[in-house]
Amino acid sequence: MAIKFFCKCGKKLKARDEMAGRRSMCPRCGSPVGIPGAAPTHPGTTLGPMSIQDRPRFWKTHLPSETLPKSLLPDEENNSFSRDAGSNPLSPAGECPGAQGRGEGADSQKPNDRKEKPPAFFDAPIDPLLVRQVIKARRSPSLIKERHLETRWYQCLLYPFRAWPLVFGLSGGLALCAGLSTFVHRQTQEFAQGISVVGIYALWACIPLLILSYSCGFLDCVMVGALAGEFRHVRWSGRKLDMALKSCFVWTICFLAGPIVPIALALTFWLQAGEMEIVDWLILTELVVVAMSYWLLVLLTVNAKDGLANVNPMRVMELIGRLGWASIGVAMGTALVAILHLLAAIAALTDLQRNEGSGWLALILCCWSGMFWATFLFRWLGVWHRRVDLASGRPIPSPA
Amino acid sequence: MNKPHFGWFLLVASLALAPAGFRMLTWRAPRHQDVDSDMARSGQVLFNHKWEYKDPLANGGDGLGPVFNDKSCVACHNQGGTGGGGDLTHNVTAFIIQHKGDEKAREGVVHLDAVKGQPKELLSHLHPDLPQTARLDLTRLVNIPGQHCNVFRFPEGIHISQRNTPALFGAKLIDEIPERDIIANERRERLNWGLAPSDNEVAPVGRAHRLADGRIGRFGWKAQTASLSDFVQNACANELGLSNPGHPQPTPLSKPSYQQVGMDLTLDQCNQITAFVASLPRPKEVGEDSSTRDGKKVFAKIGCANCHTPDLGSVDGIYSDLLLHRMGQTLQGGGSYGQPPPEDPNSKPHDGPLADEWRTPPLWGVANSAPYMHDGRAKTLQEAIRFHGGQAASSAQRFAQLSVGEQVELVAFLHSLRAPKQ
Repeated sequence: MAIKFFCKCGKKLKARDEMAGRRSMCPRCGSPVGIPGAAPTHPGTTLGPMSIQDRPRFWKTHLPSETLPKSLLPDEENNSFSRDAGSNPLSPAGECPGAQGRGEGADSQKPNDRKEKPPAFFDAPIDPLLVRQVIKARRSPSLIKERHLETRWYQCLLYPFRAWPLVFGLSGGLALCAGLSTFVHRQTQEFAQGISVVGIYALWACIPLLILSYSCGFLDCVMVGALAGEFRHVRWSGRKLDMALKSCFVWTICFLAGPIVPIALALTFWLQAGEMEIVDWLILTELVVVAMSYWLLVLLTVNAKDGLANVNPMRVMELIGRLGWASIGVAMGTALVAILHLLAAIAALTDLQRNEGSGWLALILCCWSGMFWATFLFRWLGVWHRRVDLASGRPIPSPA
Repeated sequence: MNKPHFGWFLLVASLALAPAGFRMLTWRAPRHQDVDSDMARSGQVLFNHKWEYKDPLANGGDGLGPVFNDKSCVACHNQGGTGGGGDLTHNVTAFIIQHKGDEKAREGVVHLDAVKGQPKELLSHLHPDLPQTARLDLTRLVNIPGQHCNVFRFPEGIHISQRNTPALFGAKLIDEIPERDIIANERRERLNWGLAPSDNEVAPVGRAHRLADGRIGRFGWKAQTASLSDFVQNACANELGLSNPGHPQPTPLSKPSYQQVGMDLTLDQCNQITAFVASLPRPKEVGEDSSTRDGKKVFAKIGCANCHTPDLGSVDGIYSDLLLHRMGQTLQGGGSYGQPPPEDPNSKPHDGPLADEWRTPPLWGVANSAPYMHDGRAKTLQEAIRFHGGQAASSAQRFAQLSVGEQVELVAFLHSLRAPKQ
């Protein structure tokens, strides 16, 4: 019988029985997870994962307080337990931190066994980047002490700097793909008149698709990490192509499930409007803002609930209801930032075909800036969502 | 979450929908006006009229001249019927003079003839080193591949080029194309070619010629005129020396002190000529068979249709995007047709057409409008295709690589685009 448990990001996981007590990696968020033993951890345990309120009670009862680090104690401010990554407690049903859930199968393990093993942070070398982040953190323990989950929006501005290798790498890749795509497109148009160019495009599209997928995957991880309350390391799904492609697929579905309509309208209007006047620019901006902000909110809904079934306006309205009307303002602000970057990218791509040096520089700066602000905004939205749920006493959004 | 008052929703929705509502109310539908047949008949008389100095139809003005290229409209516009193109003998000589350090260039036309008692215009009036003639043979102006040319060495800063007479068939339809359709084509071409700028010399990305008054140019080799009415008034003044409310007659190069006497044409007369030109039928494709059908496919395959777009807005079979395209070094020709328009202080310095920028000429009726290109340097359609450079160079190259059969099919297709029977 398979062992069923949850990752700290909320992903429902399954493992074979013989994997009990071993370490693995969450396919969703890439975090290290311990696979719980097949036996219940204490008599009378519930079958589901413990609630936030249950956990401190359980540790107080079953673990000596001196073995518990401070971060495991209940969060006084929120009157709830912090589910921050790295400070994730021993799971009620498993041996390893990072996992919470239950084992299904045997039923005779004593809770005292749990006391013998002090909680330790999981440091299995899963992903090179992740390891680098963890090692860095260990080298500077003062930083760890000072570091905590962001409580103010401006604190989220630091997150892109913490994830600088990914922000720089992915934005550089995006700039390169965008720039080269214009050349490939022109060359294809010029030399393949009348020939079917589908094959050429399909061949070329693989590379930008890959970079785009990893970018989507990274931004998803940023949001999911914030939703899960991670602050110790930067989450990334690593080099797992299937995860990146899945993220890209989810983003595409979220786009097709609504934003495509205003975007198509905006494109048609732009083509047919003639000389643009202020009122035309207003209409165009409105359409793009509606599309982009809705897309962002859908992505937040999907990441918070982990399911494409949540791609519908009702869920989005529910999310807006939870976060407040300010969320619409934030989403619209984000859309305006996106529009500015889009215009800058178009100008850079045009300049690229006149003056390569300045064009590439402008394009790279634009992509970097875009990735920076996207990382910040995804982090902020995730943290905001988490805090709102904690404050309202709701269970922390389980992305499962 | 506190539920906001319903009024807020209403306010936000109203503000959001206001721009769209305003645009819907002010959206201009394409204008289609029927031509007044009486006006057109009167215009036909004026179009065919052979003007004289102090002509009785000139309303007290000086009539023809003082300098002119011919004595009637139909003298130049006659190939394939009244209103068609003209041959090489009716080419107009345009000049542009800009010395180093000059902020503004001097532009204009050297007219072929002058009325009795007035000195003729000569090229030597522009510069003493230029020959004492009103017009040079085309082989003395440009190097034409396949022809023996003895190009004159012009003094620095002086550029002379010629303009062939364009056909006027279907001009009303061109006049009625909404500006937004021309701009839509401009944007579509940019998107199709990876956001390439219009000043590139490789990708066929054109640009609409935005005139100083904000309108889009659509008539003339440099798209220098925005409407048929302006085009007619411009031509009356420049070709025949008939001053009118829209355009003054040119001052002779040989006698800058010449004083204009009254108006030669009233606005009504101009409108009558415009109505006649607008009444000219549109050219059509004739004799469609398998050869022309295949030729049409080849036309699209080698990229001719990138600029010579078959349809523009609601006008089908025009084979032009009416945009300015860069045509390369060999097809340079500066100078606007006639006197330059008054400078708009707000216009940008590079808004005007570059020397190698030409409006894509509509190909309808092309079979009856030889010679080809802006100065008529190409005697045949094959030559015209070969002479394409700049943004159209790749299409010309692909034409050269076609098999003889495909080339014949393409030319057969072009020969099916004929002037209307009148």
